[in-house]
Amino acid sequence: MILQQPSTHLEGNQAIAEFADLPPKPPRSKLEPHRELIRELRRKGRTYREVARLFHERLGLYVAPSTLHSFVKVRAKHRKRTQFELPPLELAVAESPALERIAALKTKPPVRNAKPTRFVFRENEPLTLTSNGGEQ
Amino acid sequence: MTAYSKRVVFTMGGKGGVGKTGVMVSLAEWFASNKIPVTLLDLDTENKARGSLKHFFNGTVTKVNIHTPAGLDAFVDHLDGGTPIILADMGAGAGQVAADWFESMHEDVAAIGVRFTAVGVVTPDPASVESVLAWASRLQDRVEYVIVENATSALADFTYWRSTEQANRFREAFTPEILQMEFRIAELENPVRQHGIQLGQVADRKTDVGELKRASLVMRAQSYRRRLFSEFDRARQAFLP
Repeated sequence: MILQQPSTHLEGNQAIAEFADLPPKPPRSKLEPHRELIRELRRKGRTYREVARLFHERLGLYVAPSTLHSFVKVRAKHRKRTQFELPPLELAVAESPALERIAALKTKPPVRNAKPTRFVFRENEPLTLTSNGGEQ
Repeated sequence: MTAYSKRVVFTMGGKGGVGKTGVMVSLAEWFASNKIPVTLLDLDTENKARGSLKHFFNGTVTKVNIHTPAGLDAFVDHLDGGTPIILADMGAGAGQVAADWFESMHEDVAAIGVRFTAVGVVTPDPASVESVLAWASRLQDRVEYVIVENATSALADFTYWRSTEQANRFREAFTPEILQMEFRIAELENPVRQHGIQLGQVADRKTDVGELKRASLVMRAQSYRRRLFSEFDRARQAFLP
C-alpha cells in the first residue's frame, strides 16, 4: 500500500512569492562594518595578527586573527561566485555590431554554386534512335 | 529582377563545315535589314581567312583569340558602351573554353543584364547533332537555344536530330527555337563562299562578281533571304535583349 504524503514544500515560484516580503537579515558579523578597512589593510600587506592588534588599539574592538581570516575568506568566496554567475560573455557583448554581423555570417546558408543539371549528354555514347525510328 | 538590356548570340562551335558562319552572316544581314546595330566578333581561330566571319564583313569584324586566360571576356568589353547585341562566331575547339568561361563568369555577367543565345547548326551528319548536344550538356540553361536545321542537300534527312533519344531529351529540357535553312544550289552557294559575298549583296545586285549577277541567281538569293529572314523573325525573341 502506498501512502501519499501531503505536500509540505512550497513549489519554486510559489515559495519565492511567499518569502518576498521577509525583511533582509542584519549582518551577522561585527566585522561587517569594517569590511573595506580590513580589505585595505590586507591589500597593504598587513597580517591578520597585525590587523587584530590595530582593531584592538584603534577601535577598541577585540577580534581574534582567526576570525579575521574566516571573515575575509568567506567573502572572497562569495565575490568569486558572484563573478562566476555573471551572464556568459557572448550575451554580455551581443550588442556589438561586429559580433552581430559575425553571428549572421555564421548562420548564412551556403550558396548553391551549381544549378541542377537538366540535360546530360555523354559524348562517347552513340546517338540512339527512338523506337519509332523516323520522323516525329 | 534583372532588366535585360544586352544579348550575346554565339554559335556553338565544334563540328566544322556545318554552316555556322553562314548562319551568322545571314543573321547579321537580318539585323542590318532591321537597322539594329550589332558588334561582330570572330572567335574562330581555325579559319584564318576564307570561311570566317571576317571573310564576309572584313573591316567591321573584330577577331578575338579566346584561347587566353581571359577567355571570352571580350563579350563584356564589347558590350561596355558598345552595341546592345553581339554576334560571335565560335570555331571548332571552342567548347571547353566557352564552358569554362560560362562556369566562372555567367552569373555575374547575367546579373548586369546580359542574356545569351547559343546557336547550334545541325545537318544530316550525326556528328553535328552530337556537337550541339555536347555543348548543351556544358552550358545547361545559362543560355537560350536556337537550332538551325541546315539542309545540305535537296533531300536532307535530319533523323539523328529529330529522332534520337538524346536529341529528344535536349528539346524537352530546353525547348529550343528550331529554324529551317533550306538547301542552296551550288551555283550560288559556292561563289558566295569563295568571294565572301553576303546573300543580300547578290539579292540587291551589289556585287562585282560576274557569275553572281545572273538574274536567276539574284532571284534565288532574294527567295532564300526572304524565307530565312522569316525564320529569324519567328525566333526574334531569342535574338533581341
